[in-house]
Amino acid sequence: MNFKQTVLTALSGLSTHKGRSALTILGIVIGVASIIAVMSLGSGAQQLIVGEISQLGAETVAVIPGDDITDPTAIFADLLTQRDVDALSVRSNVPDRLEISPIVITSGLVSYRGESYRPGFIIGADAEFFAETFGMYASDGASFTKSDIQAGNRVVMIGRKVKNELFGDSDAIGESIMIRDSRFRVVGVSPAIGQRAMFDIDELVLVPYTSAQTYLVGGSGFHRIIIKADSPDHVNRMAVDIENTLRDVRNLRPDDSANFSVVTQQGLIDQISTIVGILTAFLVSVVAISLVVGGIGIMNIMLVSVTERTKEIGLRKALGATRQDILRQFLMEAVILTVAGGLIGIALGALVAFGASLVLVQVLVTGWEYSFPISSAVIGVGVSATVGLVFGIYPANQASKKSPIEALRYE
Amino acid sequence: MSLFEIQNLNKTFYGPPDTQVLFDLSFSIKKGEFVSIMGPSGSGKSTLLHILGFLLDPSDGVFRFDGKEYCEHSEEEIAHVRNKKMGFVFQTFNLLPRQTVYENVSLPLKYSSTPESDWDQRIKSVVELVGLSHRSDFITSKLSGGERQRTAIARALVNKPEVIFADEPTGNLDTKSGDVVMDTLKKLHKEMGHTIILVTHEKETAECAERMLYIKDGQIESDRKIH
Repeated sequence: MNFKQTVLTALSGLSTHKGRSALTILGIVIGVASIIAVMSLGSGAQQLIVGEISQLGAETVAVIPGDDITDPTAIFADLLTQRDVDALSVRSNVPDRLEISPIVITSGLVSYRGESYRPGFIIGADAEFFAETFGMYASDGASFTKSDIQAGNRVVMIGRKVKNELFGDSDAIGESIMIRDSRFRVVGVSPAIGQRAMFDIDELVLVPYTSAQTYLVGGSGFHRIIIKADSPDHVNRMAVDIENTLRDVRNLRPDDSANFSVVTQQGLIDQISTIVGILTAFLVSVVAISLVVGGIGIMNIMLVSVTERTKEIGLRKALGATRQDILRQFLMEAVILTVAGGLIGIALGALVAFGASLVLVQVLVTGWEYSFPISSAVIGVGVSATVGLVFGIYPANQASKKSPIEALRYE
Repeated sequence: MSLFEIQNLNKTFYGPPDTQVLFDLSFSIKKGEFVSIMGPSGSGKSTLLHILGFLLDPSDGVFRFDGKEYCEHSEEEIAHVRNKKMGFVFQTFNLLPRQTVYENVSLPLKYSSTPESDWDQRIKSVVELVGLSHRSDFITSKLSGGERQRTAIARALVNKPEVIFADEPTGNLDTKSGDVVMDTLKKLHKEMGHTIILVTHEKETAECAERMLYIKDGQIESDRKIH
């Protein structure tokens, strides 16, 4: 029997039991739909994160405490110091450096006359640098200045949402707010900017990094040092200079592992893509278990079908079908079932992911974009066909082994 | 030349318990003969037909078809012989009930090397031969017993086989339908020269053939010409 006839015969066999065929593929539909949805959402998350990081600009390099940015214990690593900043500020150490800014990151409550609000982050930084890098500028009032930083003045610039939560429609400029237990004077309010490079600017509270060290964090450490190169082409060279400078400052021997990380944007994108990829792969592998269950369901139904159609198998053999013909027919039925399930699952998964992305855009993350990786469709069809082949082979083999006359006598 | 040559053929169904159903059979059937195998229920006549039709292996003895020993056929060749050289008509029709007359008749062609372009003409000609052209698109479960059996005969003929096996072809039919089926078989023998091997327990049906083998308890009691 040729391939075309095998397909037609398999389709004819399946069409006589439409209801059962539909129920049989349900497991595959759900399994593939889940995989597609997870892969699509994973891809969307990856695109979002990469997009956010890319907003920092390719010429930006971050120095981070600890030797592994993916290590959760890195938050306990020794913070970066003023000595580090000073060494990196020396032109001869990092010739490609254009600008440098240390950053202190913390969190906590801010309040104004009994109104309290927990902003996304409380950042200690250079306001000018922050405006250039993250786009947070003042539309009401003005940013704090370098002299505020040098003096460690308790001045603050707040995001639009923070302002609205604390002050409503009232003017915030010149008013004093409490950040944790310290009083700061509002000098500037940013307009509604939204998400920029991993920060929701509207939810930020920005103070001079010196004030953050003194009044909010304690100590003289920094959580980040952001350095901009004069050109994106010099980023890798600058990263090497930064690493060498900091190793010198910290008296590290060549075989000592670094207790800091120098992260370029590309490096960060690669690392985060890897993390998201691993997470997605893990979720997909968990979901894939449902495909195995779906496959076992198919095998079970196919075995029932083989028993039910024993006379048909005997008849086909009596009329000249070989073992291979019967094997191929039942295998083709299983593959058609699973591939049909896979295709429906892809459509359903894409629909679910699309719905989820609409919800995410509306409710959670403004920068989320729906993504449907073609690779997920290929994987969906490939996996479902493989499930059909693997779980169809046993029932098909059982069918092909039936003796024609015993099958014809079967009642 | 003999189409079938049987010498000292035995058939045992291995159990437990082992049951021998055919004992030391020897006979031959020539090309173009119409032979009936008759005997009481349980005599082994259907088993013999199944062996002749390559549906069952003999336990020992010589069994040649068209000059070639059965054991020399590979599994593929056995399927090929069943498909191209033999046609089967069963007592219970064995049609695919949810498919049409046309689709049922086309079944053997799917396992043959006949070009698809010839299928339609072949199917239509055999359906016409058995007088079912007007029922060609009918689902077989909607047909009468006689029409179903004629569908089975058309299916048996579609690959132009050398021999047609009919196992109690009138067993499930009323007298009138049975007569139509037997007339069709006689016509196939007389006008088209097919070799026909018919198994029946009815004397009247057996006597439609030109030669009758009478089997009792797995042994040939008589082998005689009728016409």
